Parts: sequence; structure tokens; C-alpha cells
Amino acid sequence: MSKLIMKTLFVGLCLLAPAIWGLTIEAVFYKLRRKSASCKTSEEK
Amino acid sequence: MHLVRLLKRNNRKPKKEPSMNTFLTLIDPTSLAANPLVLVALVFTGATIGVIGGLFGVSGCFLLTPVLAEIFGMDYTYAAGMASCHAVGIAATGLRRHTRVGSVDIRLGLTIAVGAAMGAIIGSKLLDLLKVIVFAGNSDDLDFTVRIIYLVLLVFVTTLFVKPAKAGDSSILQKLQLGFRWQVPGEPEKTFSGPGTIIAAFLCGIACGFLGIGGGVLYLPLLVIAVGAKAQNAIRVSLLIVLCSAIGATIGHAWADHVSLTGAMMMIIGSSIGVQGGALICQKLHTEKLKRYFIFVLLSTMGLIIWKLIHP
Repeated sequence: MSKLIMKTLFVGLCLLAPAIWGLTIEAVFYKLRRKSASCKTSEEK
Repeated sequence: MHLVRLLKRNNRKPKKEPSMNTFLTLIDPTSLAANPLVLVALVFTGATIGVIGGLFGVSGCFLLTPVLAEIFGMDYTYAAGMASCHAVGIAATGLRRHTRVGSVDIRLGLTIAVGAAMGAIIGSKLLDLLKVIVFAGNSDDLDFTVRIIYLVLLVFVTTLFVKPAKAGDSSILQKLQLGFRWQVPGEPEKTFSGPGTIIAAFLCGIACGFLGIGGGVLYLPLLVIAVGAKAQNAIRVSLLIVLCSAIGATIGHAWADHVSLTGAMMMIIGSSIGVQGGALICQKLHTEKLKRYFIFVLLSTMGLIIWKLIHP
């Protein structure tokens, strides 16, 4: 039974860990892109 | 060469089958964490694959599996498992990035994805069965067979990119009169066969699960050439399918203990940053140039596999 729980946990971890990490990094870069874009527009003004 | 030899000595094959004694053995069955040099090399590999993924709108696993198997000397089953796990992260990142720009045909994407995910689970189980039943645990024979199948697939995809369909012609699935019809994404006046597309996606899913690739390299030609969708719409739908297909393949591989989560996470650290760089370069390059670079990457992967077939 514990073997089954461990395997299920592992499968869940294999799916969630890469997705959460990837989405977090994407969110950080999106904020950076927006920041640089707003800086550019304010410079142009 | 010394690094390659060192990596191979550490990762050639697991000394014993991964046991279920501790959760740590489960997370790192190939003992990658024992060598920090391998972990650093994985981060750099991930970053390179990420740049390619960001550049061409694919998960980059068609290149990652042979790199892990041929350069890091990993068993193909572990390489496929790690590449699938890595594809989950990359596809989620890519999809999020693309959905900020435009909408995804979710109904079409998810329907194809169901077929693809089922195919991917069967594909990963097929690899497991082949190893146990056909090759009786002989990894060398299995690796040889997988390399040949991979080579055939890459030649097929390269041919599709070199000889694109003529503009104005109806695509294969638009001509096919089978079951209900769907509208082509971005072109509402055109329709294509729904069941025909699901069958094609299922077959692509089997190849993805078997070879441990995300599938962008297969679904993109399927949507652009077979369905006849526009490139930008096709990339978004393809990423959604890749995500579902990668989830299916990862479940199959993780259940069979063929995923080194430590290694996969190291690669994702690199690739999640690399993919942003690739996307930036992509914006500055012309479509034709991108296509030529993509064919070059495909040919390089083929060269790597042929070299390994000649010098095992």
C-alpha cells in the first residue's frame, strides 16, 4: 500500500514540479518584459 | 572527451534496478546527484534545448532524448522518461507565453490531445514491453531498434519540411471524408475530418511515448500540412497537445520508475531560461531562415544517431 502511495506521489511530483517551475519563470520574465516595455514607451514620450 | 567519458562512467546504466526502499531512490534512480559535474552539464544542456525550443516553438525533446542517450550515455528508457518530464515544464511555459498573445482553439486542441495522450501512454508501455518481452532486458538491442525508428521518423519529418504542400491545395485531412467535420483554426470556411485527425494524433502519441519526445516536431506538421492550419494558430494548438501528450508519457514513464526527477529538474532550470532567449531570437528572424535552421537541427540530430549506430 505504501508502495502505491509513494508511486502516486512520485508521478504527481513529476507532473507538478516541472510545470510549476516553468510557469513561475515565465511569470517572472513576463513582468520583466512588461517593465522594459513601459520603460521604452515612457522614454519615447 | 574527458567530460564525456566521465559522464558516461557515472551514468552509463544504473548499477541495479531502481528499488522502492526510499523516496530518494525513486527521485534519482540513476544516481545523478552523486556527481555535481553531471548536474551542471544537465543545466547547460537544458539551456541549449530551451533556446531551440523557444526558437522553433517545439519542446525540443526530439533532440534531448538522443543527447541524453548518446552524449550522457543514459539508457534510452531513462532518457525518454526524463525528456517527457522535461517536456511538461517546457510545454506549460510555451503555452502560457503564447496564450498571452492570442487565443488557443481549446476544443480542437483538447480533443486531439485526448487521442495523443492515450497514444503516449501506450507508447511508453510499448517501450517497457519491448525491453522485457522482445529483448529480454537486453538494453543494447533495444537502443539499436529505438535509434532506427527515431532515424526513420526524423527523415520523414525533414521530408515534410523540405517539400511543403502547394499553396491553395486542400490538405489530406480536408480531402478525407470520414465522420464529423471541424473548422480549420484561423480559416472558418475550410473544414477537415475530425475522426481522421484523432487517429493521426493517436499514432503520433504512440511515437511520442515510445521515443520520449514532446511531439511538437510531429504535431506541428500534422496541423500545418495535414490539417492546413496557419502557423501561428498551429503552434498554439500544438503546444496544448504537446503538454497533454507529455503528461501521458510522464505518467507512463514515472510509473515504470524511468524518470530521474533530479536530472529533469536540473534541465528545466536551464531550459526555462533558455526558452526566453530563443523566443527573443525568434522575433528577429525571418520564417524561411527559421525553417532552414530547423532542418539543420533535424539533420544534426540524424547525424548524431547515425554516428552512434556506426560506432556503438
